[in-house]
Amino acid sequence: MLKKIVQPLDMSESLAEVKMRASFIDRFGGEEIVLVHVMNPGLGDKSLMQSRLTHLVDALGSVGIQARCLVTEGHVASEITRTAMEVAADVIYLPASRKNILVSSFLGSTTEDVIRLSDLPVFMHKLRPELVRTEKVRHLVFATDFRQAASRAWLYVRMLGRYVSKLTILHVGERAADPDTEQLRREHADRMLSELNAKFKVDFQDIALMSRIGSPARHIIDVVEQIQADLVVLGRLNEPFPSKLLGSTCSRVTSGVSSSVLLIP
Amino acid sequence: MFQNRVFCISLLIVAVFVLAGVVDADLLDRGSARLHGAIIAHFGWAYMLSGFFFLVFCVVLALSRYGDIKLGRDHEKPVYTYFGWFSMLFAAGMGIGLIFWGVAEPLSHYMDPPEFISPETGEAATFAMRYSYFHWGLHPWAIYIVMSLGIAYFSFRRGMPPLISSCFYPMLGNRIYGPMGHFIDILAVFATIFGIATSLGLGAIQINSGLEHLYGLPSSTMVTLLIILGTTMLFMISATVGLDKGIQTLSKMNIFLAFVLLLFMLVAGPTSYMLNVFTDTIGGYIGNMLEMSLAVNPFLGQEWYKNWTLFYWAWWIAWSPFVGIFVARISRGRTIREFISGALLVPTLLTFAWFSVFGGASLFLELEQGAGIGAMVQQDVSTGLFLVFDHFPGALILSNAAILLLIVFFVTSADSATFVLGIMTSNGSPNPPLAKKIVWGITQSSVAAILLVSGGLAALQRMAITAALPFNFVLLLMCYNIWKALASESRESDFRGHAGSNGSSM
Repeated sequence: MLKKIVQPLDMSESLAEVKMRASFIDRFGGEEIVLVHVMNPGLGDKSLMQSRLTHLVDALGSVGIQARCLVTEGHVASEITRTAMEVAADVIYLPASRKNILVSSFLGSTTEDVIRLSDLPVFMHKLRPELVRTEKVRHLVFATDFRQAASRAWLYVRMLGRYVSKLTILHVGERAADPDTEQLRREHADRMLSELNAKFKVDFQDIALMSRIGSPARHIIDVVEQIQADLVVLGRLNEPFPSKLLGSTCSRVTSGVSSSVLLIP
Repeated sequence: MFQNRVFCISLLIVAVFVLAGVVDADLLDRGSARLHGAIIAHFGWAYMLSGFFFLVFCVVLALSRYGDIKLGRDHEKPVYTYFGWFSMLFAAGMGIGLIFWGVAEPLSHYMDPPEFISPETGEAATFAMRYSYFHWGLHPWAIYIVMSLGIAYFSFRRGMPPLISSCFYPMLGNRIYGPMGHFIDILAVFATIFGIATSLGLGAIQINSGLEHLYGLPSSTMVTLLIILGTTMLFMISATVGLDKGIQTLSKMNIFLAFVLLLFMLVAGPTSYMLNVFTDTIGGYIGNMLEMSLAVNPFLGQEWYKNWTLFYWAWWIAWSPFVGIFVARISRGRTIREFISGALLVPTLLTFAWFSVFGGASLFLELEQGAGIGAMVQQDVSTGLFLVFDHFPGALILSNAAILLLIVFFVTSADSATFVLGIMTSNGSPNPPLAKKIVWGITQSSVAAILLVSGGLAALQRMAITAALPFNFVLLLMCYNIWKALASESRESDFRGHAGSNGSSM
């Protein structure tokens, strides 16, 4: 499912770093990595960039990772998402940026823009899993509200079951408006979690079910940090205006967790 | 009776307050003045912003897709006819206050407007009418609507007890049954006690003025206290005997009497003048709505806004739990859109008519005939109505009818308030124990009496503002809970029907 991977580079990465990241993402069934560099229009030497990227492609080839490279010009996030669509990529792989929180709040970041603009899954690699030491995803959290955009997300979860042993299915719901309805909601949530448990049982060695009430972003971050999960899988909705204004669940989770995040549009 | 925590704690707090007033009335007056000063100085803007927000919230809700949701089960139909519903809305929301201020408020503004307007001028008269409309118009009804909508929705549609804390279930969950829920209900009791005490105090003062005007009974604190005692006994008898039917009949008669009075004044008075006042002020009110809604005038004339607009906003907020529970009860089966549009527009228009007739008559006498009522109202606001009646045919009958109106409004309001306080302190039981109703009846009259003794009308107003502040925030949070609950309706079909796809997204 993650066969063709677009990996944007700003060319500040070392060869070792590119190799580590590429080998990490490649292990999820990757067949080809497309290294993409976006230049500011009219600035820099395109052929020089092309040759540097070619050098990286060769280096990856030497460790058995099939790769190719592309250099484009324009708005960085738009070009990354456009290129990913053009090459029919399965996922965009983004390492976490370490931009100052104030700067990213006011000016936004390329990562946020890519998440917002992309119609493809985005894998955002954050502090966990730590590349230098383990490079292994051991604990996966699948956050669900049992609503739309769903089947796509759980197909990815099943696929990840081949590489990850432990799964926590987390449901964060909104409290119903009265106790009777709340009871029904809880029963419904338990039933849905059990159904998901049955669905993923064959793919994972160990499955835990969790149900919480309140702000989805806050609880996802809380649970992920509490159990020190390595990866969170979230289905992404096009949230309406007020939610967007306050920050969507996805953007709040991606900026708040230390684990990596796989966002499925 | 003492097993209910809300009852015990609220009673204890109010008892401490009453005892403080008995032991040292001056201390209580100074304390309330200081508290009131601090609230006005630091939170005046909060009252104004909240009042405007409640109005916007109501309009948005009525126009939203949630407007079609019923305050009851889907099959339920409204219990009362439109006429009965509007009459009861009007009586519940305004009652004594409108009779007290119908003449006194426009004249007070006319004689003593903010610094930037010259008193006793045409401009002052326009300002006086416009602000009388503003203080009694859409904003108070928006405040009541938020409260009653919350209670009606959560009790009739969601099957929860008619308590303020029930409206917080989406936010607090089962914590509404614990200290947090109790705290909300205690705030509601506290606000109700002081809101009602203010109205009862005003009513007693005006009954005293009327009796002095007609029969020479001295206008003094002692007489006012005796009037409170007498009317307290009346409503206690009514509460004890359970004259629900009688009270209902009295309420309807009262509304009928008020309409007759209104029509008589319109016909017997300067009709065209009053209709001109009505038309002109409606235009000015609508045209200046936004500016008035947010005017606190930090540069000039702020004192006036503190004394009038902020007092009113606080008073409406303090009254909202009482009116909210009552209005909720009579609105079962109506859709949210119908409820908001009806409760927002019809009583407001009736209030405007009342002010145009009584305020218009008083301004006519003052501006066109030099009757000199304004100066006397400045001395004692409670005499305004009777002074205007003196210039109309059948003044004695009119004044007696007004006193009767005041007494019946006093009794019915106080009786309803004891009932509502009983509900609030009996876990929402629709039939609160008689002993509780008696305790609350005595308590609210005692508070009104203590406040009158300690600082008179100013003390009543100060305590209404003080008690309303925490409840203002309760109302704001209630808006959030109402919206959240309405928004969740569409999702509930998923688990009500045990259907729904095995989706997963965030």
